[in-house]
Amino acid sequence: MASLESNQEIPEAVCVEARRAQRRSERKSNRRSNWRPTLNLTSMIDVVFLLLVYFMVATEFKRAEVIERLDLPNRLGAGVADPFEVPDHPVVITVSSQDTDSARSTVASGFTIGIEGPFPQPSTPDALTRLLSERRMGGTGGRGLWPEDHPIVLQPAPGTDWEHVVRTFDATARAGYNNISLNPNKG
Amino acid sequence: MSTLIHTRRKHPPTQVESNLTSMIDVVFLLIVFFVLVSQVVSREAEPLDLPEVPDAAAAVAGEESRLVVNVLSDAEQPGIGLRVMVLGQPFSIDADGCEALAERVAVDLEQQPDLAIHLRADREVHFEWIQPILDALRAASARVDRAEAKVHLVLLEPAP
Repeated sequence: MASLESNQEIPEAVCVEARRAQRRSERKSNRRSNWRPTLNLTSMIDVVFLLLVYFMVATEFKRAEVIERLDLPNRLGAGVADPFEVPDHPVVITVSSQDTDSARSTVASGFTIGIEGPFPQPSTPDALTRLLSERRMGGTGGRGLWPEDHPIVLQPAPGTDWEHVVRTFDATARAGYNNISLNPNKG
Repeated sequence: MSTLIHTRRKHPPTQVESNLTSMIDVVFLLIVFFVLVSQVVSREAEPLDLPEVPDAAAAVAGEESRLVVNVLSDAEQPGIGLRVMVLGQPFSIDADGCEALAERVAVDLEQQPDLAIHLRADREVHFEWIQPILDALRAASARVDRAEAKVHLVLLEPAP
């Protein structure tokens, strides 16, 4: 009984082994027929990663810089020597920083803008842009009388941070004027 | 069947190898290029905090020839102008320094009539330190007999 069982088992194991071998040989022949040349990319990837790391480390991540056109006051090239002689009556805009201590202020409320003359005093750069744009010929509202090259003089008070000066300058330039100059506060 | 296998073993599959020499050549060329370019840029522009203006009416600097005038702030006393740097050359912000700066800018203006002057000032510097520099630039353009020097203010690109 026991020998009979073993006799039955042996052919089955041989069968399984034979089938496995057949499959293996099929796979091998398959591989041989579908064989294609492959490129070894390892070294290229090595080099590329090295470069990537190099540039990541070497690059300083910083924002781009932009420029704003500035007209210098008192164009001396034409031979004008008198700094007090000004064509037309310029619009004088004063700027002063409110807090000039060492702590970095939130600049939005850190400075005051004023216009000399009978104008509503703007409290923010946006208000200044709106005010000047309404008074420009062809500006918003369409009732302005000042041409685009109407002289505008910025007079920063002593102790005004450069950023506040630049912000006021930008607010004026955004209103569409192109004859803006920087002058120190005479007072 | 056995002879077929035998002949196949005589010719092993060819190994495809990539020749990396030219790629490495190009890569080294690029590295040298970027190293040189970054040195030129840092020599021109000193590290400082530029003023930042939300939605500024500003333009990206073109390829025009330019002379960058950096105004550095004193680290100990914010608001005080430390010195002016032009292409790595320092100038003090006083009468003598401004005279030398005007001289230096005038030399460049003489050579390149279309030169634009980029004023890169620290955001903390107070205006009374900028004014003598503007005066010096104006004096330089007057010395070269030009109607007006092209002066541009440099600020940070507005945040998106």
